[in-house]
Amino acid sequence: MGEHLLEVKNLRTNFKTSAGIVQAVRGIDLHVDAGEFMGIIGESGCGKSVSMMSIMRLLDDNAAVKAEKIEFDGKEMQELSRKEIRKILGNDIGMIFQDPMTSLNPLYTIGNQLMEPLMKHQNMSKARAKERAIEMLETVGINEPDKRLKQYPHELSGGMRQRVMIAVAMCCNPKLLIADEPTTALDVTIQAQIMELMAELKEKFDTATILITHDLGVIANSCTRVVVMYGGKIMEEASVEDLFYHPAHPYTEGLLRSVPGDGSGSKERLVPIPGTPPDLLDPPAGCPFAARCPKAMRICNQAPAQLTTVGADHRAACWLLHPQIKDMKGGE
Amino acid sequence: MSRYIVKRLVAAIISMFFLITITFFLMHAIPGGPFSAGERKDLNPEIIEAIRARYGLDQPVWKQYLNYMAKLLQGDMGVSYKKTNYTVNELIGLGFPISGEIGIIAIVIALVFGIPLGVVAALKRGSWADMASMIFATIGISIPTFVIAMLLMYEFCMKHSLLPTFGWGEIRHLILPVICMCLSPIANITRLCRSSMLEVSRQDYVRTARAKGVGEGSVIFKHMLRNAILPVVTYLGPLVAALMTGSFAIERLFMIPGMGRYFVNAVTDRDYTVIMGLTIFYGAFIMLCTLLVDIAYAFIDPRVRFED
Repeated sequence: MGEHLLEVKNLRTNFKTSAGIVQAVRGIDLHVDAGEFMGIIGESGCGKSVSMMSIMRLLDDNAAVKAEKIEFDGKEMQELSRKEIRKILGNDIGMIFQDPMTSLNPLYTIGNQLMEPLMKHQNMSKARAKERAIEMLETVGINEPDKRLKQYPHELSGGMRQRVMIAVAMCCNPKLLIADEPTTALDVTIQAQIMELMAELKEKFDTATILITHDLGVIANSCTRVVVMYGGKIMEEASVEDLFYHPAHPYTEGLLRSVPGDGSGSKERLVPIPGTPPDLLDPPAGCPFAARCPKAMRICNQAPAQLTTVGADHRAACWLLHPQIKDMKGGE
Repeated sequence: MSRYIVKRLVAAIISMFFLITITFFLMHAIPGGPFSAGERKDLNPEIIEAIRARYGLDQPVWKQYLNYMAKLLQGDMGVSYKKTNYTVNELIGLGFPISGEIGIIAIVIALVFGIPLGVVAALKRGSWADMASMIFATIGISIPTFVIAMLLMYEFCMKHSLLPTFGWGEIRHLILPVICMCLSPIANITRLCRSSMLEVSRQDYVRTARAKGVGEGSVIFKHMLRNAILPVVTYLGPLVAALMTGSFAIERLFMIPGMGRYFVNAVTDRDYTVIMGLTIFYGAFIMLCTLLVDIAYAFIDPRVRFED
């Protein structure tokens, strides 16, 4: 099974807290192919970041991660020691985080933080790492890179810092880039610039990218395939076209209705999804979305729906898609 | 940077002026004096008057103040009224090296033990190591040093006669006083270090460092500790000043000829010149220490900039 760059099967992550065990990720399957631009979308607390952090083993000790399989580049990640994982992180897998204002260490220069992975993973000399760092800063569109190297994070704007973070994540030419809400903390014009830069870099280096976001607009403009998560589970998985034009899950439909349209002046009202996400301390037995779903049936509260194939590369976890229920509906 | 230091020194001189002035008048406002009649019943009133005149104490307070300031500007802090034959400069010159030696050793030991204990407690939060160092820290903060001093004396000097109870000049004389002096600083540094390490460990840049595949040692020492050490550096300023000028209780108990014991004695004796001398010395020393701390801050944290 060497065809996927990253393949995750039945990933479960639990956190031990004083209130009890929080089931943040409840059995998800994911895969990313080399050079693919994949998106994971969902509202806050649905487990999207946690699932990525679980794969990279970046969670605190109170997290318990279990999976049938976490295979990256042909290696089972769960069998690797911490030291071996560290050789992959920053080298084969780069990561960008949400808040560029706090993601860089305030006490070290940009150059120091950018050269760190180069010297560690690529065994570069200081001089060589510096050359490469300047090159990377140029690539991410930072002017006067040799001057920037000597500057500290607080001397740069938020957009610039996120560019630096991207440079840090990309400097070792990773096979996979995980971008965890890279534009959420930035203002809209900067958001567009950063997304453009990520698309450019993806073309240039052919890096597979997982983009975590709650912004449908960002997904629409960049990804080819999208995974919709809710309540620690995958609700729907589809190509970006299918997701926007033929959503199969009521949650996806709800998400799409809650976004402003194309600005063409249509008088369509924005429809929020009523209610709040489920409590993962005590997750519902059935579909996590059942309590908020306008189409919920009795079975939705009793058992979770399995992911069902809807079309080519399009799957959704909804009881409405179950063949028997489809028949009944058709018979009405 | 140099402009900043000059500015700070000017501010320090102004503060010193107020410190000296306020202390001088407060001190004279307290009833009684070094040679007041109530204290020396054995002497004739005429003789007391003569002594007071000899030291200029018969003059109005404002005139005494001007005389004192004039002499102070020449670096002369006068003679002690009680320890005759000694000038205040001599008393400080004799006492400070001794108190300072104990103080420096205590500070170094406090840092050497306090920082690692705090770091380990934070990294192994909830473990037995964390519990043990927190119990130790609470004890160190809450038990007064003179109680610890007596317990140690009883254990090491009386029961096992391993160490001397008093004396000065050999290393064995240093051991117990230094232990007593450094316990509470160790406890404080451990707590400070633990809480700031815990705070830093939740920062995004630590996650970034881990995501870069940086080794755990480098994550802890390079990315976490340098950030976490800042509160300890702040605490160090007043701590150095307090420890190096000696502790009244410890120097009393172990009969150490440092300057700590003068702090209380001079006040009860109304030894005006010694009170002033110690106040000036301690004040100047604490201002110097805070200045050094602020400069050290700028070296550790590039966000700290000295505005000109």
